[in-house]
Amino acid sequence: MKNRKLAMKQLNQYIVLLLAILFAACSGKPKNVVTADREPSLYPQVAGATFPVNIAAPTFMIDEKGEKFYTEIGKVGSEPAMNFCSSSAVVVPQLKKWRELLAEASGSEIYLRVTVTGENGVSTQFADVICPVSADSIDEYLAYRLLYPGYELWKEMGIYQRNLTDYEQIAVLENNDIDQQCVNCHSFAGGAPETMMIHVRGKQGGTLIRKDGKTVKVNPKCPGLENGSTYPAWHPSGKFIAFSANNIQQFFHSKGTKTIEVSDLSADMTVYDIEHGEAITAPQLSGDEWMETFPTWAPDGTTLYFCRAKGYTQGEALDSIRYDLCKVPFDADKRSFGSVEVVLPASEQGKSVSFPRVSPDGRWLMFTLSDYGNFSIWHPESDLWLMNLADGTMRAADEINSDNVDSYHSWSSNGKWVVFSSKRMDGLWARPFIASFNTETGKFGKPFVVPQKDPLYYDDFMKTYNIPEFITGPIANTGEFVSAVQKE
Amino acid sequence: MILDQPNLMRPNVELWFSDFNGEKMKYGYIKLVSAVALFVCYMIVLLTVQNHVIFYQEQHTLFMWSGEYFRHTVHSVGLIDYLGAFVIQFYHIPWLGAAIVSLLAVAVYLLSESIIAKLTGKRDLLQIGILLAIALYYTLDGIDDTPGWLVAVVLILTAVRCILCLIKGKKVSADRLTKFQTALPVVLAAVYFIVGLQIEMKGFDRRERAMVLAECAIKQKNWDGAIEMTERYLDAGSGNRLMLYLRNIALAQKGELIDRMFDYPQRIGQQSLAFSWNHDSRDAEYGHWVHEYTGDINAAHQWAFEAMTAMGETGPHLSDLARYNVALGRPKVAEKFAKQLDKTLFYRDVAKSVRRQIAGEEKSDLKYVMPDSVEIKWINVLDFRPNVMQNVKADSANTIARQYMIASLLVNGNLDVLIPMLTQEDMKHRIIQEAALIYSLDPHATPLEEYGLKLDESVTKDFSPYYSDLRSGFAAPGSDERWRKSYWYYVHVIMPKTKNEK
Repeated sequence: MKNRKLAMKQLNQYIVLLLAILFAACSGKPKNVVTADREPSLYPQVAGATFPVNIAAPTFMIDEKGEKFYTEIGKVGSEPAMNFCSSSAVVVPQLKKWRELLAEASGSEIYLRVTVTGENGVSTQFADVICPVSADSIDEYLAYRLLYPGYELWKEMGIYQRNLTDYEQIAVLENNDIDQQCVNCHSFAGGAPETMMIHVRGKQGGTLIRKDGKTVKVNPKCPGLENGSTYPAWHPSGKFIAFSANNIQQFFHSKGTKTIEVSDLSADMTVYDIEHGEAITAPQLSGDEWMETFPTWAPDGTTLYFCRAKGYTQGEALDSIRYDLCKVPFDADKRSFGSVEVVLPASEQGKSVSFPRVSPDGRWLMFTLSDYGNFSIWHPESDLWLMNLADGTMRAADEINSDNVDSYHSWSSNGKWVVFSSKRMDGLWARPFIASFNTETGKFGKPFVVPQKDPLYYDDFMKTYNIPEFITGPIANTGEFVSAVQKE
Repeated sequence: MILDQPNLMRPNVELWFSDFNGEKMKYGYIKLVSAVALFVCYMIVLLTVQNHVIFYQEQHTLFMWSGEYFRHTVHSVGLIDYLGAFVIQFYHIPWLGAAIVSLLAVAVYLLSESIIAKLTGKRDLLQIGILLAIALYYTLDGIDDTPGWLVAVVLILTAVRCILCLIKGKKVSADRLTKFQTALPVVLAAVYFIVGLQIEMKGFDRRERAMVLAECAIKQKNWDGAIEMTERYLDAGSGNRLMLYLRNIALAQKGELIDRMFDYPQRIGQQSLAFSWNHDSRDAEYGHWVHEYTGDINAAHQWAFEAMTAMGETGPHLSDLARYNVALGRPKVAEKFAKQLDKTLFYRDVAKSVRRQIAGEEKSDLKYVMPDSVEIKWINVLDFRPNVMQNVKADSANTIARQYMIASLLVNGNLDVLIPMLTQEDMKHRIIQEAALIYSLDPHATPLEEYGLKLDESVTKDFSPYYSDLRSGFAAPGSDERWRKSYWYYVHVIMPKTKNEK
């Protein structure tokens, strides 16, 4: 009994000590603060970013020197909905409270108010960081491939889906499950997770097509074409997949910050008819005269956009290969193509187009522009551009571009959001950034990197995000992909 | 009780077995001797005949102190490999790693003995614990093995022993140990050790050991050691590509590449100087060295990155990539690799060094970096000659690149390219004299004098009997040992076969 009392007394002492430490560490909003004119530096950058109403909370680190950090988050004009007081500069909002805040602030703005107490005891309150909250939802899931940003060899890679409303990431197909074969080029029909495809390269290689609840492995190679099917684009009807058939080679720079050049030596365009299991092409889309690549459909399925460069000749300088943006009419009933028309003769301006993608409303076409070639992910100068398909005008999307690679992109199903790969954080690893899009004005909001539970996640993560694609829901029955690969 | 009858002459070690009676004491000594013998045997084997395994495993596994590493490793390769990686990190200091593994083996023995005693009430006279500890050795003795199973067995035995603590087990009989019972465990332990050692020696791969130790010597910049190891391997009659490549690297570092490379037949031609890129992950692991030493850092980066992609994040891969990226002016990328190294116990200093290099407080240890004046734009992944020639042209102080340039032109027989580049200083090399003599025999060749080169009379004199041999048939020059290391022999006998092999 005596021992028990003694133990209780000791426990109480510990609790008091712990509380004392906690209160000493941070005891609410500092008083007698001085104000700073500038916004605090936050990492990853969230200042001014437009958030969709259903996005997971962006975690961040206050990149200011200090001993104590006090952060308030709330709707502009309202009391803070959340506050954080800590000796740690890391701020991780609770998901539940964050969702409530976004619901309340939908269509208006939120603030992030940061006060930092320095070593000298002086507390500085920085100018509020204001972030608009869009009432437009974002597609709930994002699919991407994760792999080392290597060149030709690989070991671990996989295709994953990430729930954007929280932080959960689930494997769709990991190559650990299929003897380390290469998995790539996941593609969806209008962002629908139930109509999709994945390429597998290796001893059990083939193209996995999921449609109408079935997952099958096919070889969509077009007879008569030299190369196998490579970059895909689903026809809006879900009945066809356009493929470029590329002979891709890699070349390495001797010096400078650019390391690698990935270039086609030949390429053609083909369309795979899923129902009939047959690939077709046309003389204007194949042959040695031109190299066609990166197909994408207009939302009505009557036009196929793609990039095209003059056919490669032995010894030709790789930095002289430049791609124009072209289009060709397609009749789905007759499975026939019209004449090719050059939409943007970028090569005449000494530029090269890659990854054209038409917005779901058919009004805008977003593409990547670089100095030469088509593999813009290795080109620091590559930027995103936007073309108004109604009048043909175009502009650099400066509000989302950076001084490093800004490349592969996809539209959300409602056309109000884009996700794109950017290497702005370190120059080598691509990260998915999301930006809002005003379908009327054609302007983008300030982008933000896909939020993670740990704000320093991207600093540590050694894999690169490849081909980020919005999907409207989760991909189900992922085990079927492994079974389909293993079927002969 | 023994402690009731204090005996000051008794060694202190008896205190460890203080609850034993006299007979248990005797068994306690047997246990102690067995445990010590096990520890010593493990240590000796790991630090001598198996020292290459210690090195190789450490260089190919990197344990990181992070939750993400735990999740990833367990998910991708399993818990056993995670446990193995945990122990392997200590191989960075070989004696420490060996001691930890040896202690784990001792733990297996003691725990097994204790569990047997608790379950049966009898002593482990058959030394099953020793047998188990020796058997577990064979789960970690290959270069691709890990001590994961050893750790796992220790954990399992510990758990079983803890559970048995809760159960009232059988008490070990205090019967007197007969002479037989005393001798049996000693004899059995000795038999186990001897048989174990024999099995080990039978399956021992000397060639693999030589290859790993040669790699080790290169990484430690022990050039003489690398030459010795590779020559020991090549003298055994095995013409291994990697061994020739490593030997040539070490020779170049000592400035002896031209003089000594033809001491061993360069049957694979230029591949013994620099590998052609052929999508081979094993090549990628070693292929970056020649590019680093000759100053082609972008090429070195390409090879090293491919190696990391295919073989995983290891200490050497991350360290090399961090260093290369500093040199290539990509501090953010270098910092990323440094961050990974921060999570390790033994590579943190490399991370600190990289950061000092980024801050300009420390000089890079890369001896040569391709100067901006180099005009060549692309790395030729199949043939490094164009790059190395441009490198020499831009930086005459790059002696490693110069040796490689001359060596590559020699093995390819490009004498009409080589000769105009030479100086009379280069003519001090016997091999170059021999090459120049062959060149001068071409009636259409520009006279050597026009390039300021002069042949040594002794070389011309030596060539006469060789030429006579040669005229009598191609097989003849090879019959005389004294020509075997000559460039003439290479050109007339080895090189034609090399081309055929290509």
